[in-house]
Amino acid sequence: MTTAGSIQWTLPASVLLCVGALMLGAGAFLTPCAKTADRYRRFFGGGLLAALILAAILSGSGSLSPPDQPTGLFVRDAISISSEKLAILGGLFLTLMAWNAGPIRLLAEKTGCLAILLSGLMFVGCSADLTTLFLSLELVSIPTYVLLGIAGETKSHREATLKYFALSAFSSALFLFGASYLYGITGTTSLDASILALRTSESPLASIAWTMIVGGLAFRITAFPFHFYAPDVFAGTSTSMAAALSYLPKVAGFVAILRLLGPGSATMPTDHFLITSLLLGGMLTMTLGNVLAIVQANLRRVLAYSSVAHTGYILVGLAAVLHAGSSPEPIFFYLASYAAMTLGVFAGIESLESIRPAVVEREDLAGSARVSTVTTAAMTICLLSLAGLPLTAGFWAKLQIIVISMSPADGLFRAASVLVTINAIIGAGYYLPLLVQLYAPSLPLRSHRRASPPATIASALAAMLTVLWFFIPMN
Amino acid sequence: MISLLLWVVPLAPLVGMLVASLLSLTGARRAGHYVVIGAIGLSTAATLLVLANCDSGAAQTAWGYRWLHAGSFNVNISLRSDPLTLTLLPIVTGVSFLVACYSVGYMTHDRGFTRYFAIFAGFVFCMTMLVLAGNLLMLYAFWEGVGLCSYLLIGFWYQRPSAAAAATKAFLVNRIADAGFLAGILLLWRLMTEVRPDVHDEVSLLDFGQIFAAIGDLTTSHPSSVTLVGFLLLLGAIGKSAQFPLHVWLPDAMEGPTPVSALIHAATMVTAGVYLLARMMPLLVHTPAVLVTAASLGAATALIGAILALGQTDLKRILAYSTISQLGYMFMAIGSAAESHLVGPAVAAAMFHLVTHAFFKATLFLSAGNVMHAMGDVIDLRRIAGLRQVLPVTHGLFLVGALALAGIPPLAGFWSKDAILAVIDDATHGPAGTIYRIIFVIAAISAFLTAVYTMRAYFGTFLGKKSIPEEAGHHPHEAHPTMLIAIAVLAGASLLAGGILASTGAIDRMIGQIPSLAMEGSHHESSTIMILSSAISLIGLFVAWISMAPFPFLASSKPSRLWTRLQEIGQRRLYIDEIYAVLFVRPAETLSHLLAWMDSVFIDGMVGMIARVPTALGVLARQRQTGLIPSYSLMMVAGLVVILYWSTR
Repeated sequence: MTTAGSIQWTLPASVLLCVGALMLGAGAFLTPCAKTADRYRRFFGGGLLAALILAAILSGSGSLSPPDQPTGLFVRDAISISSEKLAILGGLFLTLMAWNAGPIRLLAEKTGCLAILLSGLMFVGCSADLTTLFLSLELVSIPTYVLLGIAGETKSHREATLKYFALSAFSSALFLFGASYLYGITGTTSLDASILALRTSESPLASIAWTMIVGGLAFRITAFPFHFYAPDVFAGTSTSMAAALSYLPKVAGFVAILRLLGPGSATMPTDHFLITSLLLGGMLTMTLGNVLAIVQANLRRVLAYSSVAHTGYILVGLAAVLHAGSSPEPIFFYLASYAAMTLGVFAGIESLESIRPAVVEREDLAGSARVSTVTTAAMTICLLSLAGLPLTAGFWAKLQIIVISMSPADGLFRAASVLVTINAIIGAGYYLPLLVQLYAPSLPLRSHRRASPPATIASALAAMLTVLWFFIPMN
Repeated sequence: MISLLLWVVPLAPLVGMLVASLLSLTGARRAGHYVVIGAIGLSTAATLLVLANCDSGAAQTAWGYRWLHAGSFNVNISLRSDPLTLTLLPIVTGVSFLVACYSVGYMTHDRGFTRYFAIFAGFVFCMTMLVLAGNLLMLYAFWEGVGLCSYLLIGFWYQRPSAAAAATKAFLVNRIADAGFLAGILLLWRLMTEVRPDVHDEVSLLDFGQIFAAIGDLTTSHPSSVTLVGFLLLLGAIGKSAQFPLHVWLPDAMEGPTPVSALIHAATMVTAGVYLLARMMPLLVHTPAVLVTAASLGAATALIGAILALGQTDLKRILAYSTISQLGYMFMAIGSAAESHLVGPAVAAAMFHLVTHAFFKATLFLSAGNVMHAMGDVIDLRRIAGLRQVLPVTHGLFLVGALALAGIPPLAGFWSKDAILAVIDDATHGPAGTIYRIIFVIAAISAFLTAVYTMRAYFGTFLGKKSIPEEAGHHPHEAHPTMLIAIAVLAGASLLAGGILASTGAIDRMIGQIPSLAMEGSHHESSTIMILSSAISLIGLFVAWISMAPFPFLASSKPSRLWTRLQEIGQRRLYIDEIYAVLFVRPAETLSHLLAWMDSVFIDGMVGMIARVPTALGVLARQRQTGLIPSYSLMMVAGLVVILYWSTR
């Protein structure tokens, strides 16, 4: 397989990338005004949805790259397919959610950047080389900066953008630093080859390399102690952007870690220390996330810490998967159900914000049940799923994490599974008050506007998937 | 055929729920309830057909689909029907059907009429799935499902802060118990993988059949872990069945609509804990410590519930505490299975009481609902009295329910309570005899108190001088005939079911068909206990009457001859009243207040404290969030340095 030839494994990602580029280009020639706004929104939103459907068809019909041949820059295996599915799923919710959001002037930029961001996520899943992995991760980051930048023009928006940009650049630097060590030790950038070489080498620098790389990725998944930016940025930016940040970089980070260390790669660097630090990191992250979420008054900060807490659960599962060398399905299931439940909540907020003043504090949710029954019902289901209650996908997601972390005969893993259970209870302690707020009495809200239909559809769809995946879990 | 019928039982309400949900979202007001009632009726009919076609005790399974498959963790959706299921299932569907019919009249003016029926159908779906569950995880999932519907219905009138608070409290208390339950299931799964290491990939280790078949291996290889599993399952059961010390959520749950209190918080959902213990009995017989604990907690709960019920003046709260107390009886019965020859009778007695309790408590709650309806939601015994003329039919129905609850022969409660006392009496001859002797005494005292508080509630509400609060409006009227018919069916069952089931031994025979619960020899009928328990109930009734004697009903305008006679007896025996007041009422009131105080301060406080610990930690940790890029990068670097230091060590 030639290096250039391996690009064929990235067909769905390439399609999205082209669509995104076309949209950005078209933005230079189109001048939407208030009168034509709805038509333009339909055009761009519908275009992105069509592109996602095309990508889904290509992803479903595409073949796997042959496993026994030496790989080039890209591969297509189970991890790639899962990341494509996760990108399409998230893309679907985010497109619907952001349909009516943001200024019409920057519509092309917004939709185009979202398409490129999603394609970057797919590229991460297909990368078989350190260089392509890094570039794919940057393909996720750079549109994110743009999207953050155009999300709003207030001081808090600018602050959030700058904060994310600076810290994200810092984490990319960490990743590159670690990658350079990896290259220095092994002399190759191919992931398979370098991991094979690492097995035979006894270099003490290897652990430094892995620490730096995983540290850089820990920023994207908002793991402790790289999570600090999340609440500030979530609170500072727009609702649909906070939703995107809570999901897309997280998926990119986890897929990248699996690409590097996971069972899909040639061998596993079953470095004890690496797995233990992932596990400990997960335990700290979920506890910290949940505990801090309880004391927040700002709704976005609550959801930011909730996002941190879910990273912790996934990290525990990831450590167990790497330890056992088993299939990463539980991780992908968790991410998919996380997509439905957390994006469902964000879509619900977006839908509420289209008919009432901005929802900033937890108390601002009060009275939602009166203004939109569908949205409130959908948010109720998604919040219950976030709390991990049965009859929702969140239950299976958490249960699988607990089950796989119970399997190794290792005290630390047992402790982690118990901690996940305890954290699920703590989590209920702040999701439930949010739920109660939705139904709390409030001053009469008068609104003659109808809730933004796409956002409402997104939240209803998310709730339906959440329930469906409980009865028929994907595996 | 049977498996198809079994599937109809849960799926009909599911369809009803989906239709009603859609209708409630579209805002249609007057169609959903027909669908729901029809669906539950269909489910009831299917249940009865299954019951009629069940000729052997063998468990039948109806395969559904493969649910979750993660490594060796394999769970299927399948329904299991065995005699234990078939004892409970007709109660669940039948009472649900009657309560649904009743609800049409009760909820008719409510804005959330269709929403109510949607959640109601959802509850029936979850409850039937719980009862029919073929494996422990499925049972757990729908266990949480019924809990969810229960919270939604407790908080149904969410505009009231007290309703929202009550739902939250129920949710959080149950979270703690259910986390224990889930931990127990997972631990059991772990043990199963150890005793069945090379099991076929298709086999679900959490299937009841698999668990029961492996019990011998489990108990020999991991005796202490099995005991731990038993305790964790018990934790789940005491949460759901509102047993001490997790009983605090049930009285508050009365914030929900009254038919919900009748169905969920009296007849069905709260008995799921008893059902769980009965279901897992093949395992629990090997863990006598768990059973003794269950019996002791049950005894404590029965006594505490009865004492607290004495101190209440709100009719629904009296019934709520009474439910807690009666569930305690069922736990006492289950807990008496500590000896192998008592397993069958113990489970049979618990299930018997479960069945009769469902009938008479639903009767009482629904009658209380009629009172609420007529009195403008006022059911404070200090403000209502003498309603027998205003609500003549309700009065009769409530009386039947009250006599049944009080254990007056030959009504239902008498027979089942007698069976429980008999089995506890048998257990006193076993190794832990002393504990069971204490439990027996407590059970007898509680039976006495039950009669007192029940009849007090009855006397206070329906007899005496007519007193109607102004909230009732100008013309308080009897409930709609459909509501009365629904209650009448339940009251008829309260009147007759006990005698019929006891004399035919139907439940004993059903339970005895389960291989591990076989009745060894015939269960002896102790006439001593029968006489004792009827005497206790009658004395209780009498004491209640005397205690109410100074209340206005003795001065009612046209006392009948019987009342005049009783009045004379009451006056002649006034000193008993005083002794009773000194010896019993005052201490009971004090104790009642003390327990209520403990409930509110100690146990709520403890729950609150558990909730506050994370908050306190959170406030501490928040100090590290300063909002500055340099400090965040510094934290990131510090984290990296720690990991690096550790990795190169």
